[in-house]
Amino acid sequence: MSEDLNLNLDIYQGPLALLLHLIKKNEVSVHDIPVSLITAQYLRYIELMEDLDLDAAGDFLIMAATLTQIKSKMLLPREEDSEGNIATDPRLEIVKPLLEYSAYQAASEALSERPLLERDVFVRGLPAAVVLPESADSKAGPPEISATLFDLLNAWRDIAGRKVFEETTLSFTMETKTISEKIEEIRGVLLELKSAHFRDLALRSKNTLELALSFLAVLELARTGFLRLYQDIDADRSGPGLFLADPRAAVAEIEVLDYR
Amino acid sequence: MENGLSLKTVVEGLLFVADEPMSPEQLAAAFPEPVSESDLKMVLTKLVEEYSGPERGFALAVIAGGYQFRTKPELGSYALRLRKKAPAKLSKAAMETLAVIAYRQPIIRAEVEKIRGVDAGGVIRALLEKDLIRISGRRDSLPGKPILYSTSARFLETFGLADIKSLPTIAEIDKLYPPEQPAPRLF
Repeated sequence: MSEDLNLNLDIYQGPLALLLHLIKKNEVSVHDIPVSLITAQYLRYIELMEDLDLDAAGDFLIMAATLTQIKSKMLLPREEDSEGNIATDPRLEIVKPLLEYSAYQAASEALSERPLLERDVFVRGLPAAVVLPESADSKAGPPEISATLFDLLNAWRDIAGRKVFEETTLSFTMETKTISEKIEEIRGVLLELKSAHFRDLALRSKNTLELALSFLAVLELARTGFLRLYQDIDADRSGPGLFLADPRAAVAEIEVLDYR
Repeated sequence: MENGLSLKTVVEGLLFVADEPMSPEQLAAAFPEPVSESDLKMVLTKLVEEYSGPERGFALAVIAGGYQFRTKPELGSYALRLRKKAPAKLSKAAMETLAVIAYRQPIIRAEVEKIRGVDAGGVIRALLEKDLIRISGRRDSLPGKPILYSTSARFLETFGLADIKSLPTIAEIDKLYPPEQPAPRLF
């Protein structure tokens, strides 16, 4: 999660990206980097970044050290070989990786500009609608869940990790709901709404214990046949199997079976 | 052919219902009788041609070694409105990592990290989950036999490529950024 927070800006992609950014900003050539200027600017960025995220800054510190070292080498008289002095330019140490990185950056941009599936180009097919459930009595609808227990646990892990509990007040009376109370609650919700997403159900919980109870209650309700777990296959074709944990898409659907 | 249908008619119908690119072999498997590969190829070429007209909203594209009907890129925004779904999105870090893997495959994580200058573990995992890359073996020559990564068929589908060779080469892209002569405003 922290990755998303601190690496979104281009210059925070990595030390090489930051370096290229500075080179571009100063309109200088990769082959003739004004080391002193670039190093000073680079270090200023590091200071900024250290406030934001120490971990990310760690990656950048190695480059800072390299730059500083090159800067000091530049101050020393350059050894001359028979050909000239280009071979001993201390800046070459960073020029090669910079050029290589910029080539892949260009390749990545070229790749991004291609017509992208599900963004520019679309294909036919709602696979879920084509494959009908085999049993005769089941209503037409999405096929029953084909995920493993692992997928379900992943969904749980995602919700448990994602949920920010806003309650900050101290409470001395612990509300101890039992699983049967939770089952009744979910039954009530489902009888009214007919179907719900697992995530929405789980997020009604006030604390982790209740969240766990919700999860168990859903499992119990599924076991006793009161509800069915569906996966919305169309919602995300980007990965194998079920993506209960995908926050972008409606994934797990719970449908009430009305037996009366 | 049953019911007096032509091979082309049947193949066209099969491509219409398919939800992934269909290779000639996959198409042939849908016929009760053996179908000659050259007939099939001929029919497919004909269909590609027929659907390439500018008045069409979609075309028959050659993707990941198969054939698939795809809408034209120009009408992407319309399709997005119809679908009411967020468009596919990849982060910049993911795109760069994907580019490195695409051009250098099979490649180990440490090499990706060396080129990009940052840790690649999280991004590689995300790309694996999105099925854009796959584990293609191990590099036995190195201690610890690190895992090798390559792009997947899903990668070809996502970027509309017939095969990995149809990517422009790094050298072609590099022409825009000549590595040997200092060019002004390089990036």
